[in-house]
Amino acid sequence: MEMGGADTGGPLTLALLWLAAVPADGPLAVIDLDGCMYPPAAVVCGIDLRRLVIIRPPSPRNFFHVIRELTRCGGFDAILGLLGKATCVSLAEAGQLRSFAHEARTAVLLIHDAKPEQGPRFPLADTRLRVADRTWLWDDGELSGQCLCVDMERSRLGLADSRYELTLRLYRQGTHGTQSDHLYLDSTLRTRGQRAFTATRG
Amino acid sequence: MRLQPLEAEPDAIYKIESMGQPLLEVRPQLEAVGIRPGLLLREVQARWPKLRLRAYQYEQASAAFESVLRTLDSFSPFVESLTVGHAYLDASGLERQYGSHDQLAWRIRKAVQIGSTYSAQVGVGSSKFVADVAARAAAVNGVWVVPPGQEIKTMAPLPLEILGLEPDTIKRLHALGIRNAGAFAALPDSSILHRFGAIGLRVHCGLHGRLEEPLQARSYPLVLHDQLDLEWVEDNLDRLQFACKMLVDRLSMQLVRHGVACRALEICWRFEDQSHYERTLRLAEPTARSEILLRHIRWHLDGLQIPQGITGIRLRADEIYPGGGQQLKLLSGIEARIPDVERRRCARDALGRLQARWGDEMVRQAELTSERRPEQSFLWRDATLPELELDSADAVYHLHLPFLLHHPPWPIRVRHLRDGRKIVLLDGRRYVVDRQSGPWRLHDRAWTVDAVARDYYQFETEEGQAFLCFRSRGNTRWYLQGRYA
Repeated sequence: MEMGGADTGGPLTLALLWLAAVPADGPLAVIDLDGCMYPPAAVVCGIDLRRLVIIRPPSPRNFFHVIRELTRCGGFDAILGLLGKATCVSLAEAGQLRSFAHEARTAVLLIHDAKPEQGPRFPLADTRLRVADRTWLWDDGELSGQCLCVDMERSRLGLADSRYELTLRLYRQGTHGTQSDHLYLDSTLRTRGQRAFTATRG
Repeated sequence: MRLQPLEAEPDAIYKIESMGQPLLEVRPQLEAVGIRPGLLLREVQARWPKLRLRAYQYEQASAAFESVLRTLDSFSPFVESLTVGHAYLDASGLERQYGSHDQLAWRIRKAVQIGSTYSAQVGVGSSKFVADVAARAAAVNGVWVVPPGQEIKTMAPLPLEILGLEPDTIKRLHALGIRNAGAFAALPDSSILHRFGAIGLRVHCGLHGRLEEPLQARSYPLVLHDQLDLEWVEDNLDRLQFACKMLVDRLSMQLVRHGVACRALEICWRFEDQSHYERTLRLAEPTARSEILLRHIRWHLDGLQIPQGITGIRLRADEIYPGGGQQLKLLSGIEARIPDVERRRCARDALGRLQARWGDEMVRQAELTSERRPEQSFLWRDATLPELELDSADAVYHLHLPFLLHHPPWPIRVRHLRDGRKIVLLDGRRYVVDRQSGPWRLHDRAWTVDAVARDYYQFETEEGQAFLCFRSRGNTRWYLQGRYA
């Protein structure tokens, strides 16, 4: 799976929510090339830090080596790769990765901030999303979430060329039961193709 | 065996932790002038100002006594030491190597004096009690041997104070006219426990040679290592790998022989300028199998940058566990998924492979802390992928957290436009602030040297980016701490 979005877009939040929603209790990995990943943000998205391993390769050149090792071992439920500006995966590498991921039943999501005209960074992806637009939400004078417009550019499930409007909202402890701070995908997804379904996590 | 400080050491040692700081040990010759254990420090300092006093420090004393124990280890494999300064050694069967018990005792005394800063009082007896009393009584000669079967006869003249009886018991015995060990041993067995308690009974049985207290030999940490000193300078990775295989095979045999497995392998390379490079290779699970150990070394060699020729290799098995395997599930998981235990093992194996190549710092897990500063709100720890059995504590935050953290924070400049809006200058680019919130004041650890006082702001720019910035109240400068993504 590939998700793109400009530098100003919000694919990382969505990617962490996706990682938290992986339906298993096995290990998760984040490959963080820039070294800026903030672990408490993963907790807010609902990820148990005991499941999460953060890998910071010494150089962008080692990205494929790392993701190949993690996928091939079959030990991870999901792998999230934060691609840098200059990192891309070749067709041969993508084929290898897809084969390993399928065999190990490991979900792989690569996110990047390349512009649409630069083309896909991860060929052979089953699903390709792009964050087309994003609006920050403010409540009581404080940043409280964001609204994302996500385009489904490619999907093997027949959902291609759809647009989804997603609201990601932070619920404070005390305002949403006794739970701690959590970021929720809190909207009924409205699609351009007249599909509507609820995607609220609780 | 009891130890006494040598001449260059202080005259007395006092205990800091106790109220009044009483003296613990005093040189025997000073007891004649009234300086005895139990006197309070202030009284001693007032009456004998020139006395050399030193505080008792358990860690230092324990470390110093370790050298004595090592010396004793060279005499016998069975050495017991439950308190610092006292040790028991099983001397049975050592006669053919060291001669009589008297000769052995003198050898031990000399060896301890050479190997440490202490002089030892050595007592020899048929039980731990007799040896202990003999060592206390050896203050003059340094060595005292109590022949087996002659305990009462030999120890009869000894005063009661040396037997380890309680002070109240000694007073009562004195009132009865009993002043030495012989008189105490002559008391009838039936009344001892009732009148003088368990300690009195122990002393009475010990004097009659009826006390059976087995020696509790101290355990030693198992250290398994092997090394290879090359006769030439080697820089070929294939040949180094071959040398490592030989070492790994030998180490694996050692592990199997002891019935244990290791979870980490420490490898140390010695270069031709005698410098060292050490690295710990973590394994997915405890193992003694040479092929798995060698595989990790091969991964390590793949990423090894050799600045100069290698003259030696040392391998040490670390994190030793009892041998045996991990029980895997026979049935596969949901939807033919590999079971979690096996999946975790595979994941650890892959992480170990990456760590062997690029170092432990490359692969990390995080855990939350209770600190309020964003950069200190989590800690990095080794990636162990523990089982998920306990619920983690809920975290509470004061701000909507940034998703990308800049540590250390990036210095930025914030200016005001004529219309009142702000602009952020970052990396030579201008970001006009469209919306902002704050300040939230963070005043952390105000009582410490590393106190911080910050005013936090959230900025949304016209370009659509959202930043978490703060203004330091110390130097009034602006910093970018994180970005929302």
